[in-house]
Amino acid sequence: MLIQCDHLTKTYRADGSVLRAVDDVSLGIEARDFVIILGHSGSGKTTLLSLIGGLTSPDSGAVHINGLDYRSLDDRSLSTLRNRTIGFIFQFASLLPALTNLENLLLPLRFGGKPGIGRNEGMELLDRVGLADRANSFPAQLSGGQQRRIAIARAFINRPEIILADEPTGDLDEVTEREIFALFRDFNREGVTFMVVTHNREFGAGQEAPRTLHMKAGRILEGMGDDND
Amino acid sequence: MPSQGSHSILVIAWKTVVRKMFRNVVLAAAVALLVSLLVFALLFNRAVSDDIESASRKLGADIVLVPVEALSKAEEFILESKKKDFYMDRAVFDSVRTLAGVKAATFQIYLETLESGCCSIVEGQVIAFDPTTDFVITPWFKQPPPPLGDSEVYIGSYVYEYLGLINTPTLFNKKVKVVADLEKTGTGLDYGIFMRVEDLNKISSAATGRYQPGMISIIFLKLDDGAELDAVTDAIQKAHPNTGIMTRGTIGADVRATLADFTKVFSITILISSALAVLLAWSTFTALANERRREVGILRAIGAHRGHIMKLFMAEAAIISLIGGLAGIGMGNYLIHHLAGDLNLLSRLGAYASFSLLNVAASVAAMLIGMAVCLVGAAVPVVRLARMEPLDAIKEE
Repeated sequence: MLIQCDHLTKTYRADGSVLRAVDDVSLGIEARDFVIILGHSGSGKTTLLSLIGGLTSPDSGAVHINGLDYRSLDDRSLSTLRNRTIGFIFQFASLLPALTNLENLLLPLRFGGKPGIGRNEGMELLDRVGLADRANSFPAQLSGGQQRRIAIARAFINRPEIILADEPTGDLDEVTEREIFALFRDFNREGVTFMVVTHNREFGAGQEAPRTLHMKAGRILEGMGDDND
Repeated sequence: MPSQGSHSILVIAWKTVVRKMFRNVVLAAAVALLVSLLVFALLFNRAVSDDIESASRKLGADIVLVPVEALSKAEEFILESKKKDFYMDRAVFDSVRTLAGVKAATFQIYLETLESGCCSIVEGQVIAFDPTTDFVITPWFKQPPPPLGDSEVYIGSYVYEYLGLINTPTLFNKKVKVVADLEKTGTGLDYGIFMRVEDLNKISSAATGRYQPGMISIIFLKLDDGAELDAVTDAIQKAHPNTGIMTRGTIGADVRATLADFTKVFSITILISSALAVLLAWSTFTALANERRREVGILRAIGAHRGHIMKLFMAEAAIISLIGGLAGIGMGNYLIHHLAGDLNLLSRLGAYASFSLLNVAASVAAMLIGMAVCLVGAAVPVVRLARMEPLDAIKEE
């Protein structure tokens, strides 16, 4: 099992009340899986993704990646794991405005990175997302959709085993959304495992069926239909 | 490769600072003001201290004796080149020269040219001395000077410049000939017109003002190696209680006291400025941390650990404060070199901050202090930002 979650619980306190964002979730994901997590806003899917990515700690339960328990890792080790094993794609572009698009794409290499990866790989990825000619311009010179594609390319620069994507096609048009899904599928065929969180039921429609999980009130309702949302 | 990573973080920090330079100008300006104040205070202090030290050292004496009521006047002559006349009995000289521990002794007699109703050398101080015992004037000639004859004088460097090519000035209504001039000493000797003591007898009593035969103005004593300064001064004090005693360490006591007051004012000003700079750095980086929380969350997600975030933001603070610090060094040096002429204390002493390794070191030290103040102010919000959970940072609540 590549990703193993055991009885994960995460709560938030606000205004005296306790919200169970993730409630006793256990989940296993094999290498090369393509998992889509559907759910309404506030169902806990972003929190679950963040727990799996080590961006926040659970109140209870454990996450294992390749058998490695997050609880045994200090900040530096966990950061290295995020850097080399996981690629994050967020619902916003999240590029540094002072850096060029290529520099943004290569940013994960500045914090460690895998040996032997460099500018050439960066240019290949830019080519793959159709923005090779914009390598030396700045994010502010790109459209929102183009910035998102740079951020997606950045997630792949360290050749991660896992991609965790949170609403990756949030406010993009249908054509771009299909292109991005196709890109994900290509990488998936090359061996990358995907977990994609979205509230868009049409994401990946018409493509070969990925594994779909539904979340509601912090719980996983695996394999259930639309009416379970 | 940590060094590669650190280098890259510095590059990212530099690009970020440059991109938002206008916003960072306020903080850089605050650091520049603090550093310029520090540089000015340090160089001012050093310039005055050095001038006092070098003036007392240049006289070549371990102990200087004057009439007790003339102590401040003598200091003014030594340090500020002001013309003075004060007298005591020559018997004091005859007494102290034989004290145990005294290696050499000489004296000088000061007359004032203006008050004495002469002469072409209006800004000079006429000084009669004994060439046979002198060790104060002689070291300041480039070459051994010809012995003084009748109506011949030596002159100090300022008087030499003042006289120009006219080498037959009038002194006490009598033509005198300049036979040698001293190098610049930075003391009252620069204003001296030096004549033999025996020639004083040839000047009319009306021209020599308050001077009376058998009087002298100042005694210079050089001690044997290993002689105890305190023991000799105690012996002098006991034998001649009306004699004012200055040693190398006490020459310029009044100026030193004034300098101490200046230092206190500078210290308070610097402390207040430092506190303001810390607060400004804190508020700037608090605002910056809030503004860039999501960016930090993203950096953490792609593999930056807390140390990377600390390095990135502290490098930005260091770059801003370095820019401010360099500007501050320039401003501080400009102030000391160009505005110090308006400061009475400095202009009276003739002191100014010269270019030296120590002054460069003082400027660099001031810059490092300014940078440290900025980094301290920035550290609190940056540490808080670095410790934040990546998800909390990304959420930007």
